[in-house]
Amino acid sequence: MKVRTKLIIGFSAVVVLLWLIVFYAANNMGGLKEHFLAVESDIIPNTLEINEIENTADDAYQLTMDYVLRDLPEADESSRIQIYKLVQLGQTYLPQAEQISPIEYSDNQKLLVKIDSLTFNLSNIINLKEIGTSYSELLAFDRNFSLPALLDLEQFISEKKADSIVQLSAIGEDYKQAHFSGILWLFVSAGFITIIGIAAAYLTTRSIVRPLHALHKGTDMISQGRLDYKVGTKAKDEIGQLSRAFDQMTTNLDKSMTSIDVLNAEITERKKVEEALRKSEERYRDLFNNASELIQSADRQGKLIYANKAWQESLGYDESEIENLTFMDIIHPDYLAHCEETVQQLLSGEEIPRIETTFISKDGNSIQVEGDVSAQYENGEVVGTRGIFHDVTERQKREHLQQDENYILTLLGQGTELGELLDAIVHLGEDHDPSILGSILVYDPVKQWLNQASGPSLPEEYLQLMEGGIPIGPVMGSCGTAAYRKERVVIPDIANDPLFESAEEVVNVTTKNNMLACWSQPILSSNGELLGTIANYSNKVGNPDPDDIRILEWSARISTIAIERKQAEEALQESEDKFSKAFRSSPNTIVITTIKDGRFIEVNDSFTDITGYTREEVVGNTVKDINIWAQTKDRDKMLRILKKDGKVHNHEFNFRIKSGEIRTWLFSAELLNIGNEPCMISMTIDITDLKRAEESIKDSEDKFSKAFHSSPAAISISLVNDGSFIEVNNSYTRITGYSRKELICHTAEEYNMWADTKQKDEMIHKIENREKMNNEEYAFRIKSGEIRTMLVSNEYLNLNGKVCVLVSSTDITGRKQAAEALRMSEERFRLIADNATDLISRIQMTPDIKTDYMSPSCLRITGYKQEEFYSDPNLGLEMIHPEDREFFVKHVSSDNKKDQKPITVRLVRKDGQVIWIEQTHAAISNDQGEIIAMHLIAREITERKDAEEQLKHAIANLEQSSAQLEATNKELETFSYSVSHDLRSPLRSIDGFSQALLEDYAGSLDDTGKDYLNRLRSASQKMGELIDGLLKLSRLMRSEMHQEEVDLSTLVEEITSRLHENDPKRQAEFVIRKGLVTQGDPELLRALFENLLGNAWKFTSKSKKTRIEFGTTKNGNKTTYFINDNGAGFDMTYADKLFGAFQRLHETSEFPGTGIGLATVLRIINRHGGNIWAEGAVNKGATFYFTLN
Amino acid sequence: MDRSKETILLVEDNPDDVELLMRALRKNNIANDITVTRDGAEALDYLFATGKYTKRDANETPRIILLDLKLPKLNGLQVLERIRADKRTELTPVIILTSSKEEQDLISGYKSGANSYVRKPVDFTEFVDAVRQIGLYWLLINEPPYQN
Repeated sequence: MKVRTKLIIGFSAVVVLLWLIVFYAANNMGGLKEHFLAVESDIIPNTLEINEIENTADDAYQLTMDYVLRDLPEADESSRIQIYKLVQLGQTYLPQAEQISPIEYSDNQKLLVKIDSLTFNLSNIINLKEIGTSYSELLAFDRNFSLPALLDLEQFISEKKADSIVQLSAIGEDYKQAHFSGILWLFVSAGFITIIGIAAAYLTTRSIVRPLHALHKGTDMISQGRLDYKVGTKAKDEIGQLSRAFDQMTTNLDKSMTSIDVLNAEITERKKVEEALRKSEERYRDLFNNASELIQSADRQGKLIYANKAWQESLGYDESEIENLTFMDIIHPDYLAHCEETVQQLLSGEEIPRIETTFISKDGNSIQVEGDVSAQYENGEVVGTRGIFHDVTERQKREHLQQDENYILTLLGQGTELGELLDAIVHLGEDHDPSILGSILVYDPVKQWLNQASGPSLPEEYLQLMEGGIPIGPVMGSCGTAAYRKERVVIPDIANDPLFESAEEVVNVTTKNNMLACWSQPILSSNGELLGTIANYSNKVGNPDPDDIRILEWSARISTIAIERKQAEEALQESEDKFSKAFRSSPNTIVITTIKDGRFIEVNDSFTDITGYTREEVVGNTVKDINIWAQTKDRDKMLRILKKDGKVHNHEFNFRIKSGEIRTWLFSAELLNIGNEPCMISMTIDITDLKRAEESIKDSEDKFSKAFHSSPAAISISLVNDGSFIEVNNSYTRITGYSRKELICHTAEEYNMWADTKQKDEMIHKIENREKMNNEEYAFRIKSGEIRTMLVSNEYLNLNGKVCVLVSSTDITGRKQAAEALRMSEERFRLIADNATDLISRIQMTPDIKTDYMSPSCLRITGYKQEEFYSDPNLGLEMIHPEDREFFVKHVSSDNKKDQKPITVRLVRKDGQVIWIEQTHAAISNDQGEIIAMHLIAREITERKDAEEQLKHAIANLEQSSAQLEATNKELETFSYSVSHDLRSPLRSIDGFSQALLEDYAGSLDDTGKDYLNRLRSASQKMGELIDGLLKLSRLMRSEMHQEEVDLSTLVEEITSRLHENDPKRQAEFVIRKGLVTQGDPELLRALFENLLGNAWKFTSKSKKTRIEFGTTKNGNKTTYFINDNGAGFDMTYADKLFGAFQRLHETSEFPGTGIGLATVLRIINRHGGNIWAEGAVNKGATFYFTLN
Repeated sequence: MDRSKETILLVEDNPDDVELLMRALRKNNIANDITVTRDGAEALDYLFATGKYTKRDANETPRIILLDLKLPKLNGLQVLERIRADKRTELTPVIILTSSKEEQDLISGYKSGANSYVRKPVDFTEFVDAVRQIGLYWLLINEPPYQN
């Protein structure tokens, strides 16, 4: 199928589906909405209607209520309006109700009916009102009819409303539900469609895009060169065809590429091989040319084909000449035959081992060689020979020489004497070249000339000439010159050589003995120092040949060895001797031990002396065997040091000697090789005693240091010559305020430490004269500027050769200040004490009791003079009355702070009189808290004491009387109680029976009899009153007074109004001053006023109009109260009788009363501490004045 | 209920006072039996049918007890306490009739369980009137505890 077709089908399907979905959804939604609208149109107007109805009903209700409850009793006009309104409402509603659709009509109809009835009721009400029904009946009526109707209506409406709301909300819910589900459905289907659409689109595109992709990838692969890649599609559409064609193309390309590759590879291989070959050839060539061996190759005939550089050099031919050479030319004639033989062997295929042969160089020299020869094969046939040879000429010569050398060394080793050695050397040299005569001379550095040491072949004459020694110098024959120059000197012709100019004799001898030429080689030590000379004499004139030189040089070298060796041996021997001596005679122990196990090799005499071991006990044993190291790990430590530094120098270790004692030794050691065994030689110095001394010094130094620094005194050490501080202790820095750093190397003068220049000069002078100071007082200025007083002492000492002074100072500033303060205080005290009237004394308590001071007043007070106290220390105590002495002593010696109060004691005066004193004491303590003195101050209080005693007595008396009073009171109380009770009883009887008589036997009595009985009765009653009055009085007197604030004005008002109330028919006027308040007992005051006012009321009973006044008058500074009445008054003549008990100034018939009242009043006033008096006139009223407290 | 059968116990040592009281009661037409005991001990003997009153029925308790405080042998308060201690008489109305004005007696009387405290007035007329009132109240108006 074509691509295009696919796409069209796919998209069409999607579109159709979408359209279907939308259509269906829309449809659904439409239907739903219609339904909802229909319902809504029903219900909502209904609801609205009902709302309206409700409102109307509400209004109706409201109006009804208003009307019924409020307006009905009132005016009619407003009620009419109300009703009118109501009717109107009903009327408005009616038409509305009719418009509602028939289905609902029935409900609303009901509504209407109700409102109708309501309206009906209301009109009834109005009618009723107009006919004058009473309010309460109306209320009842309304209550029974309209209210229920209204309520009913309300309920109905609310039900309806509820219904419609429910309905509406139900439909609303439905709608919402449907709406929701519709939307949901829409989304779901839309989603579904989308998925399908995407799937379709995807599939469609895939069938197109994928092949294209594959194709694209294919092209990529090709461009990268991967020709084996195939797209490989089976699709039948255009893209498929294209892909297949593409694949074909790829295959063809691949094939052609392959063949080219193969070709290339071959060529490359070829080239590589050629190159390798060439390189290899080069290497070989190089190798051959640079070899030190002589390498040649020749053909069958013996003609040379090739010879390397070394070969060319040795034989002296160059490159171009090689071709023309044959074996004949190069082989030494002696060896030719051997050579031929060898060649034949080779050509016949034999293998030849090492051969030796000799070549002839171009210039005829023999060259001894040894090496390998082999045949060269080509196709199995021998075409030539190869040879590789070493030039051994030199080697052989050297070997020969080496042999000689070894021989000499052997001789050396055997301990041959130098002379013999040198002879041997000369002989060997001569052996090499018989034309040579050799000699060796040895240099004497002290005399600075050469001595003939060896010349075994030299002629006697010559030797004799050399006897005395040959000086060295620039022109001293060959030997001397050579020695001088330290260079070889060659003299080809002795006879005519300038160096032998001055030695004619020598020349003669040499010439005579056929010593025509000579050469000398200096013998130098390894340091380049002259040891001697070799001289070789030749019997021919001419220069030495190389061999001769070689021999000469060899001789010199060997001689060096021999001579040096010999010298070394001698030195060693000497050193050994020296060592041996030193070893043996050293005062310190010297020991040689092996390092490995500490085995004693040798010990010196000191060792055996000090340790107590003998040589035999020690040598051959180890340090462990004799346990000489006090601690074995010390030895390890020592070995470590030795290993690290190569030696040990003066290390302290502890060792155990034979006796077991531990000694401290300073140990030093050095490595030493004996044979091949690593050993050490150690030397020790016994420092045990030294150490002990050191320690004790250190101890004493420590002690000193401690003492120095911890001393509370300020100590300083200074140089005498310049006064600079060397050392100061801690107290010094603390007291002066300067730090050690500030002081050391500075002077006291620098810091201006002396307060006074005169003092400074004085002290410096003393020190310079080495004067000893002992606790001398000086004033110093410390860092803060404060001046302190110090007691200074010094000592002189010698430190490190310098004279120093040690100064020790004690700070007594405090002490001085304290002393000064004390002195001043004492002065003050004395001033006071001398002038006091009281007895002032100071008693010293320690060491003995002594009167330090007694004031002059002692004479007046005690009768004793001052001197008597000073002379007799016990007088003070003896003066105290014996009975009081113990108390006094206890008091003054007590530490208790409470006892610091003054005490009273008696003193016995000189004249025997006893006086009382009041004494205070103050104890004076020292720094340790002990009482050192006592201050006493005493005052005479005899008079006071007497007064006190009297007072005490008076108080005692008072208390007694008071107690008696109490008792009396108590008795009185009991008495009055029983009096009242007991007295009353008979009274009652008297009165009772009199009355009984009067009542029961009235018939039998005449008037007189009745009269008598009446008198009886009144008498008994009176008695009763009297008893009551007395009881009351006594109770008032007994009771305790409570002081309170009492409002007198209010009290008076109360009492007067009560009085008036009890007799309201009387005309009375009360003038009461307001606000009169005082302190007093309320009960008593009440009784007081009751009495006074009662009296006033009583005595004004006859007056027409009673007037009673209560107020105050000023009398001095005391408030005087008064009660005034306008009553009967009294005769002033009898005024003093007023307040007596039972006193009356009137007859009972006139004014009843017992006569106790005023007595009571008087008692009350007295208890308050006040006064009372009265003024009056007959029939003119009375005024009672009184004060309280 | 025959009120006239109920007795009044009078505890009083003063013979004059006894006579006056009886007279007062008669004057007020109080016809109850009045038993007089002269001291505290006798009063208790009567109440609890001991001593010389053993023949009496102790369950027959008086209607009211008029009690004086100042008595020989046991004093009025002690008698009162005994009366109140016994189950038979603990509720019987006790009226203290005394001349004492002492506050202490008043308080003690009430504390010990007296129902009423009356001070004897000196004046006889008053006294008679007091008796009348006591009679009216305690015998007529007040409901007794034991209704037998």
